[in-house]
Amino acid sequence: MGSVKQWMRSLFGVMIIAGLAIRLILAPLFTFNSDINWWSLVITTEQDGMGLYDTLSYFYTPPWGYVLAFVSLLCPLLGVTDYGTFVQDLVPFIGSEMTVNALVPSMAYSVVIKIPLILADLAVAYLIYKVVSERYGEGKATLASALWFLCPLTILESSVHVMFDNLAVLGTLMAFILLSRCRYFLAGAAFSLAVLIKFFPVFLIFILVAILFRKEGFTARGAKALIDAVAGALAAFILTFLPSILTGDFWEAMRFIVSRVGASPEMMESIFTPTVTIALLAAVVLLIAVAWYVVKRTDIVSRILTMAPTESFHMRLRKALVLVALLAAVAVVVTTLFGSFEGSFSEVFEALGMRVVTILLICSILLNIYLAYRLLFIDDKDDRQAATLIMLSAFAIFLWPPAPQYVVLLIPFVAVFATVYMPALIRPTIVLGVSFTLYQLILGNVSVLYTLSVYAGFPSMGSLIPVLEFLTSYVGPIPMIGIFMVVFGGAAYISMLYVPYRWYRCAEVKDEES
Amino acid sequence: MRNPEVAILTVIAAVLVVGWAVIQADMFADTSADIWNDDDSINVTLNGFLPSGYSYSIYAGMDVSNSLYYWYDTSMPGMIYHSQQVQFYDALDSMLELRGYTKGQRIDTAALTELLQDTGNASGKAVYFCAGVLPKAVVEGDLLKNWILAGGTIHWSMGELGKSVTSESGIEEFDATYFFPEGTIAESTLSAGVTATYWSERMGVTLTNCSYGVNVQMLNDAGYNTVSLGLLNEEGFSSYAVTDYGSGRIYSLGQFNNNTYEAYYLMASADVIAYGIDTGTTEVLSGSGDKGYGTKQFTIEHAATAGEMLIVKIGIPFTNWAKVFTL
Repeated sequence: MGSVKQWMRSLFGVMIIAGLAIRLILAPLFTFNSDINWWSLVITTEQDGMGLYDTLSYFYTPPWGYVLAFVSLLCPLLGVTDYGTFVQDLVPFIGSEMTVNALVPSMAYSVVIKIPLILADLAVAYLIYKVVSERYGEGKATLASALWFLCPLTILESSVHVMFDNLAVLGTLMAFILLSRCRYFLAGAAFSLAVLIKFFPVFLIFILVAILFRKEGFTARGAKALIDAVAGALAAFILTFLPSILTGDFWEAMRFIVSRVGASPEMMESIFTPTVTIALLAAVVLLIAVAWYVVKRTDIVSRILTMAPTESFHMRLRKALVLVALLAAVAVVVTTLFGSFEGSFSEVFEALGMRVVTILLICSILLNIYLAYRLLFIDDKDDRQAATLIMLSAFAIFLWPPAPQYVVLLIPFVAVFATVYMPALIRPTIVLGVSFTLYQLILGNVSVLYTLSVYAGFPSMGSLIPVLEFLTSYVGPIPMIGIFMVVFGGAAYISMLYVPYRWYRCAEVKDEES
Repeated sequence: MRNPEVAILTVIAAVLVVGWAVIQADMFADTSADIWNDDDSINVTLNGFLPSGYSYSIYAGMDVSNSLYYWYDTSMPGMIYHSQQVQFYDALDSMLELRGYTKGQRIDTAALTELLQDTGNASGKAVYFCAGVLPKAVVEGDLLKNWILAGGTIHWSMGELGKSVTSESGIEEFDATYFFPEGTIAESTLSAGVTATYWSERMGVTLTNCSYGVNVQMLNDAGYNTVSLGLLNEEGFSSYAVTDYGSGRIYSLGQFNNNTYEAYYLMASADVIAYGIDTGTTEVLSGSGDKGYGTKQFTIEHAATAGEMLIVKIGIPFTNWAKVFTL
């Protein structure tokens, strides 16, 4: 038995070394040059002691900016002084339907900036291994961890695309683990960081709250745990934003988040006048008072919440949620029909797409609320049902076709669930990773070769230009790259939807058998 | 490890705190440069602890404005929010400071009117208009136009120059042909097919397209000496250009997506102002290298000529620090 355990551990070690080797080989040679160039601009301004929002080059919330600042210190300390070269051959393609950037990152800089992201990948892999091995053994732990660490999508996002969604994954995963260990304050802090890094984990708040009350019950302990978690989240939020609050850049720092709900910092500044801010602070004080009251008089809340809902109540709730989703859809469709859309084919397509995404976002929130509600009242001794609801909740975030980097948030949830409870989902999970990798490669296309071309001389830039010309050409009003995006993005989206579908089919068969 | 998640959270917190501390510090604050000329060469000493890339350029025909003013008036609306105007001017100030140029001074319409009335001292002064509108008070009676013709410089962006004016009662349409002939300002976006120009290469203006660029070719044909500083499209419209206007100059920067400025153009604007790039500026020579830790000395094989300027920069490709020497 001991030797099996040792072998499994060595297998985990081999898997980690393999995953790291792949990343470290890719890191200097292959880089999408779109986002990384914004990061080099931010790094330069940070080195000069300018605030994150002083030079109009940074639009995310502060955490990633602080990580970049850390990189801005690492670069000169490691002797990395050349962040890139402008390539004039690429200029004619700027402004096309593709994101074309003429600055090509250097190899050394590409490696340094990817180090935090590769370490985040590693941390997630270790946490998955640790959590699964505690209850289900080393074999399943290694497999679940490998589904994350060797997933081509996670490798691509950290080591080629230089997108930081995996930091949000790390925060989210830590929130779930800390919650399971009853470290509510830290769980709240980790979740807050995850949301501040990349917003999408916010949809999981319902399921997290449900887990908390499942653990502690609707008692004074439950209320106190919730208050601890909220306090942790607020503490992380305030500490993260304190510099921006002190410099008067708070709403600018919130641009990424408020823009996700169709607002802008300027709009928020005009809404949150001093009077409104004072009123809000008063509301917060009132909420604290209510929270204190709840801790003292949990009998009232528990009387309401512990009413055992009947199946007919579940049904009525489901109907109510569907009705709300339909009403939202009708509202969006009506505003679309009466709204005027101007611009190129792509612009109109994008505007209509945004309306559809709005409908699906509303549905996503409602679905997540429903899944959390079900989690509260299931009787589940082996945690299988709870794990199912958590996994489905993660999928419910992306009812709309997501950008590939967002999908990394799903991987740990489905990897753990597939390995522990439903091996039939392992293959769809791999397909999901591969299909979104292909989609991401289509989006990044030849830019992945620019660094190699400029700094190693192969392939020549001249040989890449015809590919760019082809991708930026038009078939009638439709951009060529758009066709590829629809084909590969559509296939990737289907592969994502297939995972919950496959789960449903397997669950159905299991029900019939039992 | 018993609680790896707590350890990881601690490491993340430490990275964030270090990152925050880094932002508070100017890592290149100790950078300085000195030059001394021999008969046929210029010797440069570059000081500073941290390693960095450096570059240098010698230009001829530069004209740096002694005074820079930012028009900013909260009593009248612009095409962009007042908070965005503040953000833009603050960001430009930061960029100018890195290049060794004094910050601009914000003036309202009353102070601007007073400044423009002094046409005798227009030369060497520049006013930045970043709101996409001109104040009605200075357009009426040709106050602004006469000041430019007398030698003043304006930097304009975010719309068609002259098309809209503003006052306390709001924005109103004026005359898009007030400064330049009809058809010389692009209303549509400069889309694909753009090419780099000499100055866009030098300043790194290669990221974004924009609308309301001026047509360099048409303006030259119409007798306005114009040079493109940004990207140029097939029809001759440029995202950034400088035009001689009487004894003065007009710098036209386009309008960007969602009415927001982007750092790339901001840096180009800072280069143009700090180094005094105009229609007659030419590059004599340039070079680059790696400074390494501590002091770096290098020699530029060039006999210094009166009127030329040497710009020494730290940071590749973006500028961390720069100093201008008059040769």
